[in-house]
Amino acid sequence: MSFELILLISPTVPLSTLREIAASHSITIPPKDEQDYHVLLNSLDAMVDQLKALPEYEDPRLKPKDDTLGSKGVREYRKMDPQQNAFNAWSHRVISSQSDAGEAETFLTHDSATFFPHHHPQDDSLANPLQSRITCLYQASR
Amino acid sequence: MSVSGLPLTAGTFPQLLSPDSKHPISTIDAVVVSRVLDAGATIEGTGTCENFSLSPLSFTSANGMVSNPWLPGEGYTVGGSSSGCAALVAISAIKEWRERKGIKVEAAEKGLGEGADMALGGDQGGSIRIPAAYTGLYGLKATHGLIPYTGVVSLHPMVDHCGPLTKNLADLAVLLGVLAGYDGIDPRIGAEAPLRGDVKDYKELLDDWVAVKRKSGEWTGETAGKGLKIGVLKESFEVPGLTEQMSLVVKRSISRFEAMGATVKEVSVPMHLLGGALWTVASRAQIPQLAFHNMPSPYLAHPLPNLNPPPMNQEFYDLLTKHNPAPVNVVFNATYLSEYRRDSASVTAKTYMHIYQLRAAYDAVLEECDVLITPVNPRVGARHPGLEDGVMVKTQAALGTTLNTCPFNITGHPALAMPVGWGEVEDGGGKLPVAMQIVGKRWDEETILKVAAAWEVGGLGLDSY
Repeated sequence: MSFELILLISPTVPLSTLREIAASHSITIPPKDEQDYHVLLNSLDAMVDQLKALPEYEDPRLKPKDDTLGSKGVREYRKMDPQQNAFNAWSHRVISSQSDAGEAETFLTHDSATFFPHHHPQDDSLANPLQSRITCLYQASR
Repeated sequence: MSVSGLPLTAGTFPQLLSPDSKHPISTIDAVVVSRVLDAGATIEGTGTCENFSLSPLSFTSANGMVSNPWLPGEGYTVGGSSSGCAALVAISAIKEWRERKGIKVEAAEKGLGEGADMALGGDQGGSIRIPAAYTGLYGLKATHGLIPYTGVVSLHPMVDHCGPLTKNLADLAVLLGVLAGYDGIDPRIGAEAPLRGDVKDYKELLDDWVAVKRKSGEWTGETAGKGLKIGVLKESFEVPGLTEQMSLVVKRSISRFEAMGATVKEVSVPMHLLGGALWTVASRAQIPQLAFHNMPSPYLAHPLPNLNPPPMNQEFYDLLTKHNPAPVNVVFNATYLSEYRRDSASVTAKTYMHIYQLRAAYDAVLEECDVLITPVNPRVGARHPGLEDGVMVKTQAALGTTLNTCPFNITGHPALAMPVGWGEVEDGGGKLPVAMQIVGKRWDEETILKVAAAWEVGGLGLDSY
C-alpha cells in the first residue's frame, strides 16, 4: 500500500462530499475521524490533479512512421459525397497522397489489397500471406 | 493465498469476507502452492497477513499484530503485508545466525517457537520486499507476469505479484525456478513470459557464473564485482521519510561494490518520485470491487471460489478504522473518483500512459547498468502504534514506506530486497536489519541474483552486527 504525502492545502473536496460518500455505504463517520479521512481524500484529489497536469505522453512504439504520412507530415481526410458513396461504405477517405503510394502499387502485384495506411509497404509480415488476395484502397482512388 | 482445506483470511475479519461470518475454506490450491508441493516441499501452514493486504507495516491484521523476532517481546514491526511469513522465516534465520555466531540461548530458542524455511508472499506495493527488509531476509518481487497469481486474492491485476521469501540467496534462486512460468490461466502473464519448460534454471545459472568467476580468480572481496555495472538511483535517496541512518547504511553497502571492482555510477530518473502517485491513481478506483468484493478481473481469470464478501457497512468502517484505516480510505477514494470526479476515467487512462513513460525511463538507465540500487525500508523498524491511536497516527506510521518499492509494481521490473546491515531503533532498544533493493531489467532476475551473490562475497549483511 502506498501512502502519499499529506499536503497542507485548501480542500478541493468539501467535508459534505465525504459525508455523502460515507452515507452511500450506510456509514456514519464519527466526528473524531472526520478530519483525518477528509485530509486523506483531499490528498488523493490533489494527486489526481497533479497527474492530470503532466505533459501528455504516448508510447513511441505507436507513433505513426514519418514515411507513411505523406509530404505534409500528417494524414488528411475528407468525407465522401453521397454520389460517390452509394453504399454508404466509406467513412473517411485519406486525401493526402502517400509518398509511398507508388511503392504500394509495385509490391502489391495483384489487384486486390486492403491496405492499412499505418503499415509500411515494406512490412513483409503483412505482404506475404495476403499478397494475392487483398484490395488496395489507393488503387480505387485512381 | 489459497491452500486447500485452510481458511482464506485476507488478514481480515470473517464477517467482512462472508455472509456466514466464517473465513471461507479454500477448495483450491493456488498455482504457486501446488508448484512447491510438486517440487517436494511441505506446506506447514499459512502466515498472518495484514488486513486486506493494505499495510506495509504489521499492526493491522485481524489475527493480531506481528512482532519482530529479532527483538522479541518489544513489539517492533516486521513490515507488511506478508508479515507472518517474514516473521516465520526470520525465526528460522535467527536460529541459524546464532549458530553461525556461536550464540546459544536456550530460553530464547524456545521463545522463538517454530519457524519456516521459506515462504510465499504477495507484493502489490512492496509487501514481500518490505517485510524482508525489516527481518533481514531475501524477498523478491519478480517481473510482473513471471510467477502465476492464480488462486491468490487480488488487489489489482496490474500490481499483483506473489513470490519467494527466503533466508539465503541460494534458496531464493531455487524457489524462483520452482514458481516461475505460465500456468495457462493467469491473464497477468503475457507473451514475454516463459512457458514452464522454458523457465531458466536460476540456481544453475548463478552457480555456473560463480564457478567461472571463481576459476578465473575473480571471486574475492576485491574482484567479485568486476564486470558488473551498478546504477545508484539518485531519486530513491530523496524520497520523503528516508532517514539519515538508512541512507548511510545503504550507501555504505553500495561502496562495497566499488571495492570489489564493479563500476558504480549515479543515475537519475526524476519520475521515480511520481511512482507513488501513479500507483495510487492507476489502481485506486478499482480496488474495492476487485479486492473487497471479489469481482473478477476484466480479463478471463480463475476467481477465488466461495468468496462472497458482503456489502460495505458500518461494521466494515468500525473494525477497519480501528485496525487498518487504509481499506476505508480506499473505499471513500474510489467512490469519490467514480461518483464525483467526472474526469477520473480519463485521468486514470492518462496515468496508464505515464506508467509506460516511467517504465521507459527506468529501461533507459538500465541500458547503461546491469541493475539499479535503492533503499527499501525508509527507516529502521519502529514499534506498532496502538489500536486506540487515531486514523492519522496509523496512516503516518506507514507513510512513505513503499515509495521505493511500489514504482516497480506498476512498471513490472523485478526487484529484490536483501539484508546489508543493521540500524539502531529509535528508542535505543537495539538493532534491526536494514536492506537494499536491487532492481533489474524486466525478465532479468538472473542478473539480480549475480549482483547479490557478488556483494555477499564481502560478507553477509547480517553478519556485520
